[in-house]
Amino acid sequence: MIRFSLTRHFQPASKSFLAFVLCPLLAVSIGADDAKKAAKKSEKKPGNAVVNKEDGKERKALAKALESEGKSAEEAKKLLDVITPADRREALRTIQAIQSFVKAVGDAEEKSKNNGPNIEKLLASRPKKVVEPTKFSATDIDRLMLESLAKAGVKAADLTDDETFLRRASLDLTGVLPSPEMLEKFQKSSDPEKRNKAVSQLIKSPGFAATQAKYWRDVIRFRATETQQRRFQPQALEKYFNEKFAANTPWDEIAREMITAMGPIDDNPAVLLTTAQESKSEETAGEVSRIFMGIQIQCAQCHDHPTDSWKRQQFQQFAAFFSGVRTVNYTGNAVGAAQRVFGPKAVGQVVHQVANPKDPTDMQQFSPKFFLGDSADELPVSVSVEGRRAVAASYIAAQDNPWFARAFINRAWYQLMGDAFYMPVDDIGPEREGKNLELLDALASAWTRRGFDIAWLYQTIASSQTYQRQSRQPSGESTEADISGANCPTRLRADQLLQNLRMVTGMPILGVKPVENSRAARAQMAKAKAAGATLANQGPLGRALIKAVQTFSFDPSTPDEDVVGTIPQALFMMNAPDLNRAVEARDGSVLSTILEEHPKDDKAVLSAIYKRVLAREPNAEESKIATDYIAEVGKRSEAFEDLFWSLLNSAEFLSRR
Amino acid sequence: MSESKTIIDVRTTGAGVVSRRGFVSSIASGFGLAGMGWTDLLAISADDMRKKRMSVIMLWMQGGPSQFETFDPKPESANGMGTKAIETAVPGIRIAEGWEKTAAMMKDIALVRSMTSKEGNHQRATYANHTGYVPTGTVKHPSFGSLCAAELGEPNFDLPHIVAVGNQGAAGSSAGFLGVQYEPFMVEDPQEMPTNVESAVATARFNRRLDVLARLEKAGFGKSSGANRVKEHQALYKQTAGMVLSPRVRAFDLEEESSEVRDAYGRNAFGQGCLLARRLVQQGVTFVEVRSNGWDMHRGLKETMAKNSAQVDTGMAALIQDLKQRNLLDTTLVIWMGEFGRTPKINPNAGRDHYPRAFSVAMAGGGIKGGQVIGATSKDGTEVSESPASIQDLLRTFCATLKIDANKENVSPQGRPLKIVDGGKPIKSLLA
Repeated sequence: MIRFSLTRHFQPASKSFLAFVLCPLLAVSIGADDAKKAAKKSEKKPGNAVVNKEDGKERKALAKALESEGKSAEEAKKLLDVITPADRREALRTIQAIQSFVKAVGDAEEKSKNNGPNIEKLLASRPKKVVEPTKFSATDIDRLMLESLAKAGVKAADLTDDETFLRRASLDLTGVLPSPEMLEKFQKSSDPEKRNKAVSQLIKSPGFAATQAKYWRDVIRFRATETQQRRFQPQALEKYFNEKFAANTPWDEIAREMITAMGPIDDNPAVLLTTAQESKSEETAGEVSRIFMGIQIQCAQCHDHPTDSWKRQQFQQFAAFFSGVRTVNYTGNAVGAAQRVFGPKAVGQVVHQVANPKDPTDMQQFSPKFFLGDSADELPVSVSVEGRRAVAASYIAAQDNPWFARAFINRAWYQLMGDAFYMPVDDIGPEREGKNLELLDALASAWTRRGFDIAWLYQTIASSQTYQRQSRQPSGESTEADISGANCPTRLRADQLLQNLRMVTGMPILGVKPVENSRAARAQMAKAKAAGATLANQGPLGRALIKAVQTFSFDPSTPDEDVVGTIPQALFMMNAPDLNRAVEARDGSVLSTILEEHPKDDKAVLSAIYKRVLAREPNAEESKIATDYIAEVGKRSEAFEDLFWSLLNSAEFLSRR
Repeated sequence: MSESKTIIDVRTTGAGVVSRRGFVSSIASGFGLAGMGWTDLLAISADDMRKKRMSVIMLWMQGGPSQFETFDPKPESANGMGTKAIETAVPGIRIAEGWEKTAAMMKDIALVRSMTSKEGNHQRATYANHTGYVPTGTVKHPSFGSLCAAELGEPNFDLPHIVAVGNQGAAGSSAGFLGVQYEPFMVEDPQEMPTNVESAVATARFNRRLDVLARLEKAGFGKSSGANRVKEHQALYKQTAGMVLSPRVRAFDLEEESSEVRDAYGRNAFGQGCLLARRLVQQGVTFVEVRSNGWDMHRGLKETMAKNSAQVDTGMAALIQDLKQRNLLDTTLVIWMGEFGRTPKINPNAGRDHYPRAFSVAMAGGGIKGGQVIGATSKDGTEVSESPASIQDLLRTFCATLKIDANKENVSPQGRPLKIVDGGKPIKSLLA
C-alpha cells in the first residue's frame, strides 16, 4: 500500500527509497530485526487521534524528512501541497521506517566490519593442536576388551589361523586377496612378529590409500544430491582421498580442508563434499555432522527431534555455518559443456534464513553456533563465508570435540571388526547407546593425542589380538555380549569384489560378452583412459565397468545386516559371459595352467583353486564333496571348471571374515 | 494327464515355478503341441491367480513434456504456438494434434490439466514426482513404484516386482530405504533379453553347478561364522536361478510376439518398451516404468515434438487397447507423466522452458474413470484456473484406486516414520 501511494507522488530516485523498495530482499541480510522494530514503532505513533496541531507537526516533519532525502525545500513544499493528509502520514511513516532501516543497515555493516578481528580472535582462542606420544597400544585394546567380555560373561574366540588372518588383513587394509604366493610365504615364516609386520607392510602399500579412498568416496557419493557429473565428480574425490591417505595426512587436516574449501573443483577437490550437496547449507551441515561426528542432527531440520534432544534451533544455527554458498560455473558459458569447471562460491546473501515451518511467510534468521559444548560462541549473523566455515572447522575437527575421533574410529573399527561401538556407524553421538564405550573412549583419546594419525590407528587395531580372533557371526541374542569376542564377517564392497575377480581370473570381469572384453577392447580402454577420458567415455568397457560397479555397490554407512544381495548381482556372478569364459580350462587360462601343473593330482588342483579364490585350503568335507563331484562328472577339466565357478559364486568369496 | 497337472502346478505356486523338471518333462511329452506358447499358458494361470491384483505401468517423459503440445492445447492463445486441437472419442475433450491414436482411446483416459508444483529443476522435479517427497541428503525416499511393489507384490514371485525400461537411473526411481528387493530391475533395451539373465551353460550343467555350490558352501563357510550368510546367499541363488529357469523370464523376449503386435506398438525403443510392460504385467509384475527421452524441448519444439509424439502416441494407445482386449485394463493403471510442464511463452529458440506451475498428466485403467478432464488452466495457459492438484494429490488418488493405504508409515534407517504419501487428498472424481 505504502509503496504504491509513494510511487504515485515521488520519483523513486533517492537511495534510501530504493532501499525501501528492496526492503523485503535486504531486510533479511542486514539487521532486519532492528528495521522491523523501527517500522513497527513508527506505525504506532500516528495513532487514532489526529489533531490539527499534529497535522502541522507532520507537515513539518515530512518536509524535513524529504529534505534529508535530497529534495529541495521548494520541491518538498510542492509535494506537500498536492498530497492528502492520509498520504502524508503514510509517507512520513515510510520515510521514518526507511531511515531507521538505513541506520540499522549501517549498524549491521559496522558490526560486520568488526567481524574480521572477531573471527580471528575467536579462532585464536580455540585450543592449539598438540601432538604427543602415547603409550596406548594394541595390548590396551585387548585388556579393555577382555575386561568387558569378562563382565558380560563372554568367552573370547580363539586366535585365528595364519591363512584366515592374512586374507582378512589383506582385504581390510588393501581391498584385495593375498596372492597364493604371498600366502605360502607367510605361512612358512617362523617370525613371531610376522603378523604385525604384515599389517605394517599392508598399511604402507599403495593398496591401503586406494581402498580407503574408495570407501570415503562412497561414504559421500551415496548421499550426494547433486547428480550433474561436472558438479560432483566421485573420481576426483577418490583421487583427492587417495593422495591424502597415501601421505598419511591427519584426519583433522582432511576434515578442515573439506569443511572450509571454496573454489573450482579442479583447483581444490576438497570442495566436493560441499558440491555433493549442491552447496546447500542445510544439506551440507547434515552431511558434515554425519560424516565427521556421526551425529544425525539433520533430523531436527524441520522440527525438534522427536526422540533426541536436538532442537530445530540448534540445527539451523549449525546450518548457518554453511550458508551463503552456491555451486557456480567458474569458466562461464563461453566454454563447451565438457570443459566447464564448477565449484562452490560465496554468492549473495550470507545470512542463513529459513521459512518458519509453521508460517512460510515468516523468514527466520539464524546465526552460526556450534551445538556441542556449552562454551561455543554465537557468531554475528553476517560473518563472511570463509570466516564462518573456518570457525565450524575449528569446532568440529578439534581435539576438544570427542565425537570427531569417535566417529572415525567407529568406522575404522567396523571395517576391521565387522561390528562397531555404535550401529549404524554414522549414527552415534551423546544421544545414542553404544557398547564397549570404555574401549572406544580410551582409543579415541589416545588417537586424539596422537594428532589423528590414521596409519597409527589402523596399525594399533589390526595388531591387537582382538582383531586377530576367529570370526563368529553376531549372536543376535545379547547385544552386550556380541561385541568382538570375535571378528564378524561382512560383505565386501564393490571395488574389493571386482578387484578380486580380476586377480583370481586374471582378467577384468565386467559382465559383458567375451568379444567386448577382448584384449583389443581393453587396450582401447587403456588408451582412452591415458588420454584423460572419463570412465563413461572409455568405450563399451568403460560403461560396462560403471554398470558392474553399480551392480555391486552399496552405501558403506549401511549396517551389514541391511546390505542384501540382489538379483542382478547373482545374475552377474552366475551368468556373466566373461566370467564364465574366464573359468574355462582353455589354453593359457588360469585353470588350464593349474591343471597342466598337476596333470594327475586332483587334490593339488583343488588346493590351488581354493587358495586362489578363497585364500585357504579346503577342509576334509569339502575335499570329499569335490572329489566325488569330479568322479560323478567324469570329465576332469569340466568338473574343475564347475568347481572354480562354484567357489567364485560362494558367499565366502563375497565376504570378509 | 501330465500336461494339465503341470498347469495346476503353476497355478498352485502362482508366484513361481517350484519344479522346473516338471516343465521339461511336459515339453518332452509334447505339451507344446497344444497350440499355445508356454508364456501364454503361464499368463492364463497368472491372470487367474492375480484375481484383483493391481499393476501399474508408468510412461515417464523425461525432460518435461509441453502441456500445450500434448493434453492442454491452446489454439486460441498466442501461447499456443499454432498447435491445433483435435477431437477425441469423447465429445468436448480436445487434445493436441499429433496424438490422434490416443485421442481415439479417450473414453478410457482421464486427464488432469491442473498439476502444479514448485520444482523447476530436472533432478529435483523427477525425484519429487517419483517419490512424492523433495530430495534431501540424508533420506533416500523410495519411489512410488517401489512402494507399490512392496505393498502389492506377491512375496515369492519369481520375476522382479518392479522393472524399469529405458535409460538408467531417473532421480528418485530407486527403492531408497525400502531395500534391494524393491529395487527396479533395469532393462536398457527392451528389444534384447536383459543382461546375464540367460545361463551361460546348458541347463543340466547349470543345475549341477548350483547343486555342488550349495553342498560346498554348507560344508565350508556355512559350518563356521558364515552360517547365516550362506543361508541368505542360497536363498538369493534359489530365487535368481528360479528367474533364470522360469518360463516366465520369456516375458522379456519380445520375439514371442507376432510381428503385427510388435508393429502396432511401434518399432522403436519406447513402443517396444510398452509391449514389454504389457507382457510383464501379464505375468504378474507389479510396476513397470517405461521411459521416453528428449522432452526437454528448449529449442525447435515443433520438430522434436512431432518425432516424440509419434512414438509415444502409438505406444501408449496400443498399450491401452491391448490391455483392454486382454481384460487387463481394469487391474492395470497406466500413467503418462513427466517432471513438469513448459512455459506458455515461446522462447527465442522456438522452444519452451521449464514450467512447474501448470502441467498435465494422463491416466487410464486401474479403476480410474476415463473420458474426463480434471482441472483447467487459464486461457493463456499461464496458471491453473481450476482444481489445482499436487503430486501428493495424484499419488493419493493412485493409492486409493490401487487399494494402498497412503497413510501407512515406513521407517527410515534413522528411525523417522515416513508415510507412503505425505499430505495431499485423493482426487475423488477420478475414481470410478
